[in-house]
Amino acid sequence: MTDKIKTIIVDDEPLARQLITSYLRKHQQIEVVAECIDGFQGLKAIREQKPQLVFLDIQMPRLTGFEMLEVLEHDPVIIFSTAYDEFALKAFEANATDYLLKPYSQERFDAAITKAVEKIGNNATQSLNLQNLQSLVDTSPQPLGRLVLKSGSGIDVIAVQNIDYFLSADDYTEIFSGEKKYLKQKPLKFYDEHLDPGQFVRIHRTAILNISRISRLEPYGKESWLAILKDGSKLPVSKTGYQNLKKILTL
Amino acid sequence: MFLILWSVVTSGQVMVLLSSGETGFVEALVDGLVYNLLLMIFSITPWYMLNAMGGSFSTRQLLVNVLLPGLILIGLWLFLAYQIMLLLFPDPAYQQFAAMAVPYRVIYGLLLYTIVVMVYLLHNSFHDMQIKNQRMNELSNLVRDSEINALKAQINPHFLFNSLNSIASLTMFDPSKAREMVIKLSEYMRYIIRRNEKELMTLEDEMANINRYLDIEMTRFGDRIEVHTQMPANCSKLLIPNMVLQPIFENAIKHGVHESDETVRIITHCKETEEGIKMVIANNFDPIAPTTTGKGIGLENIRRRLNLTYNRSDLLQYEKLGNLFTVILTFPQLKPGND
Repeated sequence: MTDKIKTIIVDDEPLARQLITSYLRKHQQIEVVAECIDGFQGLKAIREQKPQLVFLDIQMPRLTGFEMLEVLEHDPVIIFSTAYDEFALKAFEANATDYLLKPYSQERFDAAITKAVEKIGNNATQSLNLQNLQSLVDTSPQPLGRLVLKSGSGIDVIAVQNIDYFLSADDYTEIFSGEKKYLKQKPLKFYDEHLDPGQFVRIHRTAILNISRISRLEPYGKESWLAILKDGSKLPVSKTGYQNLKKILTL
Repeated sequence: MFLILWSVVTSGQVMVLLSSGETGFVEALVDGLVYNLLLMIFSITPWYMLNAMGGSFSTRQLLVNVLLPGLILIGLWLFLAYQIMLLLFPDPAYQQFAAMAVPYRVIYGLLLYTIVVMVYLLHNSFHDMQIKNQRMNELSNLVRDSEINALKAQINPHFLFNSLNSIASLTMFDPSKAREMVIKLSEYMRYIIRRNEKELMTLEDEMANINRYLDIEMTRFGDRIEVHTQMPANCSKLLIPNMVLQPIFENAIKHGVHESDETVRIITHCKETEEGIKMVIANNFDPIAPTTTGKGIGLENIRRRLNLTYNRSDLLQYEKLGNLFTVILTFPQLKPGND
């Protein structure tokens, strides 16, 4: 192998990054081009440097490792380096090359490097299975607390309570928050299943509404209604949606 | 069961009367039936009396409340049965026999009455014991569960493994710092593991352990943590529940360091007031960072703990103002000699 393997380390603890660089000393073919302290920096560095290999921690400020992968277009080989063993299964389902549990030995680290180098050498479409990953970021039993959304070339992290409503658009979902509109490659059903049911209601086959945004309901044709939001937008409410809404609002 | 026992007793008495030869068959049968049927009905009353007295009673109570009514009951029983038998069998031979039998019948009645009371008491204490066992089991399960949870919460595995990872890293380029951290971590863990020995610890000891924790986090995150503590000397020997402060500092680190890139400042003040120790712990956090996890559970646990220890629910207050999170705690001091 003549070319060096471009690598980025994403971890919020300086000592953890130092450990990786120390372990990398004997692997001359690997070159660390950036060290990042959170998912945002990691995302930026990966977009700019297009590394082949990324060491990724999971729990980090502002944007977690999983959230970062969710909005990544580029497919580097990922080695997770984390103290959280409960995510191991999820990470492998996402085609992570290896999952290093802190603290790990040089030998264990070397084994991960061997796997990664092999994978990069094969040049096989190592494509990180982003679809899988997305579903597993979200298999946690807790309702979604925040969403990571692409906005132009940047990304926004938005607390779910700041989202007004979700609209279905085929396999995608349009997400509305204030003036902004985002598109996410996930069916509306996913949000129906993962949002806090005390805060969000499926009011129509094509719409989920944040109930704090509702201003009033108007009858609209036979067995259907219109929800008028505080900002003036109007959403359709079906018969089932109306029943769902009534259940929540009278509670 | 009750009825079968009584019919056995009744037929026993009939046999005794027959074999004595004093009475005829019909008389013996009717005599046995009347006396025992009445006694059976009367013997139910002590059950209710004992039940009404509740589960426990002293020997004196037992004498007054059981023996005395027992004597009255037996008197009543004899009188009634005697009168009934006289009405049924007015012939003088039977009357003579009945009069002669009275002392035996008193003994007989007393004996049966005592047996009934004994059975009741036995049954009762057996029942009590079962309930007690059940409660003991529940309690020990509860204690075990809460202890495991407490231990889990306090030796946060992510904290532990990340700290060990930092140590692994330090061994390569700063061995003396690595050694220092191993010692700190050991002291911290030892304190936690020992914590069950005493419910209340001095503020000094508790803060020393908090400082170990913060030192370890500072080694991990470097200059991103600043700690300012003000603890007057007169507070240091006052008592607080062990490990009760830990979740507050963990929250400060979590929201300050894990969810923002800013430097987190943790400011702690204590003072002694008439009520006891008053502590204010404040930290800055990023108010716009959407958190991924629920808040306030740790704080609610502290409130519950304080409630259990001091039987007051107003000892914990907290507020969010701008980017400052403030917790105010009061730890009443028990008067000396007042256990």
